[in-house]
Amino acid sequence: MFTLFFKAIRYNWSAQASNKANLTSAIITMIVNNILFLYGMWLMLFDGKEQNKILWPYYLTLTVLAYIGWGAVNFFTGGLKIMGEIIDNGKLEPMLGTPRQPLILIAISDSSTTALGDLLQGLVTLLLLGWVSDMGWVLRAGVCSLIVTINFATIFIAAGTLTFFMNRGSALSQFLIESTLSFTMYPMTKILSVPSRWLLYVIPAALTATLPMSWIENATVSAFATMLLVSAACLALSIQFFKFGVKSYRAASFIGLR
Amino acid sequence: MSLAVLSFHFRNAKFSFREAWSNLANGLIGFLLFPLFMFILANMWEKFNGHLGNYTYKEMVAYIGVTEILFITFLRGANITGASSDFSLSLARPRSWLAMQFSALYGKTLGARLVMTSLYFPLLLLFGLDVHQSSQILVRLLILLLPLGILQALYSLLFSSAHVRWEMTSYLTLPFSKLFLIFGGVFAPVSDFSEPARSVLLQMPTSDIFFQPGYFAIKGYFYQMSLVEWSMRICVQAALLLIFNILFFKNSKRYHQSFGG
Repeated sequence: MFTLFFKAIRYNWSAQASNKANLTSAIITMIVNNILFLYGMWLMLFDGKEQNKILWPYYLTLTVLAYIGWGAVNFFTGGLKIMGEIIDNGKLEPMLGTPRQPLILIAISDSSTTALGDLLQGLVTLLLLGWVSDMGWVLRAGVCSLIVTINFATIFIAAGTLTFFMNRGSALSQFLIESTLSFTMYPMTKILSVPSRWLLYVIPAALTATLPMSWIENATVSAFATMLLVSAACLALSIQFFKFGVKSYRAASFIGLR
Repeated sequence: MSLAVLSFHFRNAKFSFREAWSNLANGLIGFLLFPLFMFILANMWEKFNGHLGNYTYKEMVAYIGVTEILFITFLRGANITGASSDFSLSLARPRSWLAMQFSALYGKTLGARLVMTSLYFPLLLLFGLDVHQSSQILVRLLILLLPLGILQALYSLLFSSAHVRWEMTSYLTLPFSKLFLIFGGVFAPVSDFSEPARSVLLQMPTSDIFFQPGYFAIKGYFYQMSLVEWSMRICVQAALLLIFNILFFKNSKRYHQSFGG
């Protein structure tokens, strides 16, 4: 399985690198896009507002989690994000006819060039975090970036699987995925009052922002254990959900030239 | 331009307008984020900028709603690539590609924005605004949708023309729209930014098409400018965009290579 995975990454990368102009412009524009967003948020929320500056490291860490998590999943396993389209367009059928795990085949079927820009930006911002916070905070943010990457994959799998059961599952899956990214980048627990925080579990930014940030902020064993347990349970559940979805999948008799 | 040509483009815009309403359920799924954004961004504003006291929470909910309606339908990738996809074919047609795509994009924009506006009014009531205030905001927004649709169509068309000539310009759409998102005051009013950013951003075209319409919708007047002044700025922006569009189109027409696809 791992050999196949690494081969897919290599071939996807070589396909992208074959068009250097395209690759470079995709990465540069994504980095420019992210810097603009970060600068704009700084202007809007923190510039000239001394009482808000205490939240700057918290906000910056959220962007690290979002950029690394989103970038890594979309670059290495980009097919997960478009799982809904793959199922809707009947592209899953050829994958079901092979002795490999269909989820792995879906994951490696695509790779987003622009996501590499996100990933690079996230890694650079992680290094820069050291300027506004202590080393422990940076290390915890680094560990959480890995966990958030897995959590993004979990959400992509669960959201994409909805397509097996619904007519407009693909659109709903995109909605869930994009809302998770958007709301990972807002300091939700600082914005919302306690009774309104149920919303985080619906979106579901709790997996990608609230739980990791709780450990990064408090550095307690219980927060770390909660994050790990919830992440592992959600990953197992989403894989089971996918397996259940595949069993109830009815083929659209798609015949495509390959 | 003859009456027949005008009638054709009007029907073209009408057809695209109706397209936005044809699959309402699918469209509304895409707009499920809309009320969430209204709620979360208004709360974010209250947490970070509420102490400035320039707006009430309810005004902010209404403001975010207006700017989101304008932004979610601004520079949509599918519309941009869709407009440039039949460029080769259009060269053989007895119609101007530029005019045809403009009318189609205008119709699509207006249609999508009205779909969202139909959600907007009940949401305002849900967020606690009274019927009178909500109706006033709605009427002001509807008045502005017509001129703002022209600018949106011209911006999208600019990217469509550029896409025909230089394919990789499609990557520029995202950072370009991000400029409008951040510096146009979509997330929070430009008037709440600190100096010197506020003065600079108020002079930018970005605030003319997001912040000022949002401010007008909730207050009934524009921020530090009259209706005439805002209209003049919009007209100048539209004229410049039209000139750039014509230049881009001519360039695309000259250098475009079709392989019969």
